[in-house]
Amino acid sequence: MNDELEQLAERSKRGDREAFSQIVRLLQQQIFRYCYPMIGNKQDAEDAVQEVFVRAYEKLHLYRENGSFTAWMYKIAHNVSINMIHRRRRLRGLLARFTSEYSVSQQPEASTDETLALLSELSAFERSLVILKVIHDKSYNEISVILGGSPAYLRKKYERAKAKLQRNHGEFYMKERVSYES
Amino acid sequence: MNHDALETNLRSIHIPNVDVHDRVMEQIGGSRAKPALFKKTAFIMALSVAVVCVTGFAAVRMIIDLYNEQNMRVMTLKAFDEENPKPLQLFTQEEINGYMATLLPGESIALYRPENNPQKIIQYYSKPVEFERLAEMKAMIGGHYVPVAIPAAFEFIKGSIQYHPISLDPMDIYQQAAEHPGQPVALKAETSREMLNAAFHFRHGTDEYVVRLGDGARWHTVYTERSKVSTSEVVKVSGIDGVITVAGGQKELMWNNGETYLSVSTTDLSADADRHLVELLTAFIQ
Repeated sequence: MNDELEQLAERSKRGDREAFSQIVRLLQQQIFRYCYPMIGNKQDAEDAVQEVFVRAYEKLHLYRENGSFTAWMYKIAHNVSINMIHRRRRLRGLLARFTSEYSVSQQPEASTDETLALLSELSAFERSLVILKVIHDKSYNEISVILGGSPAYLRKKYERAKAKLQRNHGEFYMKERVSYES
Repeated sequence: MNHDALETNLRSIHIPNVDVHDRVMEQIGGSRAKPALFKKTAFIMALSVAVVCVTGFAAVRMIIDLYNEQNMRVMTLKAFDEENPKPLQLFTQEEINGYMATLLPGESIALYRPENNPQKIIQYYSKPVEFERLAEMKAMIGGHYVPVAIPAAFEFIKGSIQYHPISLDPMDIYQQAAEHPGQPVALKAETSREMLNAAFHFRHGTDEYVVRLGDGARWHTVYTERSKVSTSEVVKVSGIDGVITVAGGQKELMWNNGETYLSVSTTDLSADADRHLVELLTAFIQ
């Protein structure tokens, strides 16, 4: 599929909208599979995916054909997701400031999924690393193209993130149990 | 739960189906993909009418907006103010030079000092890769940005390219600072292959001219110290506004077409220098 994407990207750069339409169809679910666990909310993740493709279209002239169009798209998805997370955090801050009668959840809003909640406890970098490694089956070499950092550095960070997840899982489980029992 | 079970859980996260195709295509309906960066053909027509036309003013202004032929703003030159203050000087130039001396060309370093740094800013520095021959630079850059022909009176002396440093995880840096209070953190960072900027040094008689270029979007707003700017003048090059300023004993022409930012500077403060600045700039956008 990589060759096909490269060709479509090249055609899109020349103004072929049908080619870009195909790129959207081919990659939207894959990009959503990255944005959704990153952001933890379906509606925001959908908006993020839309923004990723619009931004990609506007920045296509900056893409250099080197066989890594998907990695380039992941980079954009990463940046858009980080912005979305920051925007939501700011919004939460405003809500918390002006709406004292409502408590604002720190967990993903629309999901009770324990794993998503656990992921949200990681830093954005760690979360991205775990998502790319586990959910997207990316190698450390591939991740280094997307997030930067050497494969050895990423391996170390991944092991730490996994340990943190495991530790948080214990705490999360305890909290859930206490909440259930009370 | 062991590691394997955790990974299994992560893999089994339910990801709903999504379809944003129509929304995307509708949103980009009114726009079109921009042409490839620095395609020379895009400039040929414009350059045939390259003129220098002084439309500006001698007095120093707080904000100078520059426009292209379609009357769209391509760059703003403005003084640092309360909202956009001059970046904090977290490290002295001497300290920075010391750290840079530990790097090889093309390597980068992240510097952090928590003292007087409420925004927890981490600064990245990348050591430029230097070139003695223009052809080498051209090969490295891949043809973009590099002039086809240098104006006769100019001679290439040297050049350098800086590449984008890749950000480290800030938490690692903050943690290290917390573990070693009172000590600055200096960590080597990876460097990407993406060019941050390039500098070309030319000799013209006894004067030196330096051309710097970078990403136009990054330099959409250029901040300067108002107190240092003694004059500013808007000039039109290739149909697009540029601005010549005199500041700190240096004359500089800044120009941005939205895609590419170019700055040409010299310590020659004579009236002739304006013409040379434009001549050199024109060679780069040809």
